[in-house]
Amino acid sequence: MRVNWRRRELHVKIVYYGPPMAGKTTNLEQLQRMIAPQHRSELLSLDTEGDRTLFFDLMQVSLGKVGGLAPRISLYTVPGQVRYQHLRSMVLRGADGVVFVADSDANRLEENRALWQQMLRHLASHGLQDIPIVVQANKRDLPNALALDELREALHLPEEIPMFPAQASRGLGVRETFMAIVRFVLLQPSSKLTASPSSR
Amino acid sequence: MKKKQLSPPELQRVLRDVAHELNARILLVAGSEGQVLLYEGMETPKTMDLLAALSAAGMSALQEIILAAFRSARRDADNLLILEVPQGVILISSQPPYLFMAVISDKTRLGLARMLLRRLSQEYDWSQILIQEEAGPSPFASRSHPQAEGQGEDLFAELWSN
Repeated sequence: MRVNWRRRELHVKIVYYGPPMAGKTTNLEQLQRMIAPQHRSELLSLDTEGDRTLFFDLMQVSLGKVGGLAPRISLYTVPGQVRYQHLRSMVLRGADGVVFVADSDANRLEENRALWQQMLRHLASHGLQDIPIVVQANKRDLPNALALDELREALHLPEEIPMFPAQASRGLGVRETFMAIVRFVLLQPSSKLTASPSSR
Repeated sequence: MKKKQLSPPELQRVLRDVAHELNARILLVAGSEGQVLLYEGMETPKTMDLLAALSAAGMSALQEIILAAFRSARRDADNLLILEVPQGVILISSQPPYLFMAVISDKTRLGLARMLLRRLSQEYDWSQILIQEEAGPSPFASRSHPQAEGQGEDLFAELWSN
């Protein structure tokens, strides 16, 4: 987290990470719909022709002032396709928290696992291995959706990482996931401010 | 070279002077990952945030090209991206951990712009903009578990449209 004293803002960067088509962009689209326009920017999407995220999506959310500072949350998604792993790593730089959007489809378990492991490696390479992580198990409406426990076990999730069931296409679980990661980042006693862009 | 430690208003003045010298419509300083530190220009803060994020993405794409073309290239090297458009010239200069972005007139000499942007990075410590108690807790930190029901509800007051 960083404070921009000139703008009296506390800057927080949260990245939605996960396999392709798991629903990362859908989460941001639903948040755009749910959040009052005066508290958010437009959703900036850089898409390919096939509507898949090319660079990232970005939306900013302003929360109520606390302690004289206005928290300004930048929400990013990363491109899910395998070939964009350097871009994913770039977007993760400077993150204060991550939402891992997992696809509940039993057939996509390996993809979830691969992206989860890759995310942990990227975070470690940026010195971010201790930042808050929240997992969203999306597409709970699928007939072959894995049970939450199975997904948790497959990803070897530690108990302290919360998991939220969701059906992002209908907006279900989107708000809860967002509020959890924001609380996790802003309110945890170990949250630290950083002084230099290079230090994260 | 030891960087000058200036206060935020002094850094703002430095940026204003350089923007004036370059006849720049926009001049902004961001972290390498695209978060705005300081800017000069007529645009709104939200526009500046978008410009900084897009500049970081553009620079990242450029670095991928460089890495693909030159085996010896380093990811953290200084790079300069120049975009000539009908309305003027956009310069994006990556000098980790900072990113500088300027929108200048096509009458401004590119060599001068390049030199001044490099000087901004080499001479000044822009982290002063973000200075705070490095070891201190988040100003919002509570002693309760962060996910406890009801914690931090005031953060989300009036956020939702329904």
